[in-house]
Amino acid sequence: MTIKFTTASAVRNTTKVLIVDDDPISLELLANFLEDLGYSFERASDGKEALAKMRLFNPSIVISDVEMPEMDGVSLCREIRKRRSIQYTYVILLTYRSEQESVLLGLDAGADDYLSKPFSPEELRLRLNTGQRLLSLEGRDMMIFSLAKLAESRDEDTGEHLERMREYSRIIAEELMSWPKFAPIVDGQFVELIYLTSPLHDIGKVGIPDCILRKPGKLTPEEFEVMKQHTLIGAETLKASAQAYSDATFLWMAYEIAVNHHERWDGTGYPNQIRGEDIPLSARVVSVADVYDALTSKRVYKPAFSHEKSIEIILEGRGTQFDPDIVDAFMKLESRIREIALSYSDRDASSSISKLPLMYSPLPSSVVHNTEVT
Amino acid sequence: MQATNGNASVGLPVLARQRLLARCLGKQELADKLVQLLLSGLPKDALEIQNAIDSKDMKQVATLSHRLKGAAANMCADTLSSAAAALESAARHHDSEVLPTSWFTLQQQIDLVLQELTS
Repeated sequence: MTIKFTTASAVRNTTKVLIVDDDPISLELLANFLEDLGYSFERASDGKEALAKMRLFNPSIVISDVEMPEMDGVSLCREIRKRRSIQYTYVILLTYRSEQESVLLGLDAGADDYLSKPFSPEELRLRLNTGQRLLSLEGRDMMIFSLAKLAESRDEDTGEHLERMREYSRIIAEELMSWPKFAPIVDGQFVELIYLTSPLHDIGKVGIPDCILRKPGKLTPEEFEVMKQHTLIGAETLKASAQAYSDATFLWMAYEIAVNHHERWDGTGYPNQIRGEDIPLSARVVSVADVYDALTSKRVYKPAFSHEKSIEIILEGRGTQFDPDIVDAFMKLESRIREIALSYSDRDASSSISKLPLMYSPLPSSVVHNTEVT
Repeated sequence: MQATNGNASVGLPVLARQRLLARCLGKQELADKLVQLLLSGLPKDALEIQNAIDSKDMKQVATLSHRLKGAAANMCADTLSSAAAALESAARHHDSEVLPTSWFTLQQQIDLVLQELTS
């Protein structure tokens, strides 16, 4: 096969690669291939040096030999996975075909891929492309979640509300996959998409004026009308993005959640008062997840309710506020839901007190109106 | 030059230069640089392995011969790579009967490669 690499001067790849090998010949070859492919790279001759370089160079991809003095590739991989980093590091281990055990150890330690020595430049290029594809997906997911957090931060200090809510949404969707009624709609992609896009449900809040969004007391009916617009603002923004980027199909689910997550099963929600199965399934799932998390979180107008009390309130909304099937799925997952709720540490932190305006709450009105605003 | 010493190496090139050049994507300058690295590294590698054998540090023998196996494979010096692999295996299995023979064969291969590269 004739290999045609684009020269480094033609295209500069912004992905940073750290190459780790105690064999200078291997390092030189790797460096040369990476140079041809336009990558930025650094070299290290063992695991310890690699870890030190990672702190300064911050590579997205690490290509490491397995057998090295000081710290071997498997240990390096474990150390990389222990690091708290805002970005994922894609790890490729270099092994020999005969070293099946090393491959298994490496994969178990968190390596993403391996390359058998001596490798061809084409093999290396393909493995790097795979890594970059994965990293670009992570970049997209991170960007989506960051935008959601940014919007959330404008009016609320709700700790890890978005993290919990997307976990609840994901496991409810996973449960629905095994229900014959939902099997034609809910598949692995649906589960992945709801996890990815549910945090965008309140993205439209960025378009609500501060005087309403940050109002600590009860909203007037006029103010509430403005507040309701966040569903439409979010939906319009996401729809425009979905139309502009036809490949980004996930934006359509984000759109249907944003516009519909305050609709109610009995048709008394907003903004369009649609009812029952006219409300997209994704929004019906997110609605339950959102309310449960609001109930179990401390708000300016209420304490954090216990899990039991919150479940009671969710059950009261079965068939009125919520899709009965979704509530049934939720109840089936009760212990896992509770585990997720407990797994986040901000539950009782004072910083989790919300400045959410009273009338804007997704909670049932009985909860809101029976509780004193402090 | 063809290898003449050691059963496994009979008839095989000490260094497959054309294959190495292809591996370097036709860059003679890179191939020359790698040859220089091998040339300068081999005596040091041999000395380190000898020291590790003398001190009966089998883990170190395995690590060093493993590195040499990789370097030789990258250089398309297949017989040298095989000889290093045999020593690595003997060291990993603490096989004191096989190890001296493996080390002797590897030394022969190192000498052959050095002769080839300096001729």
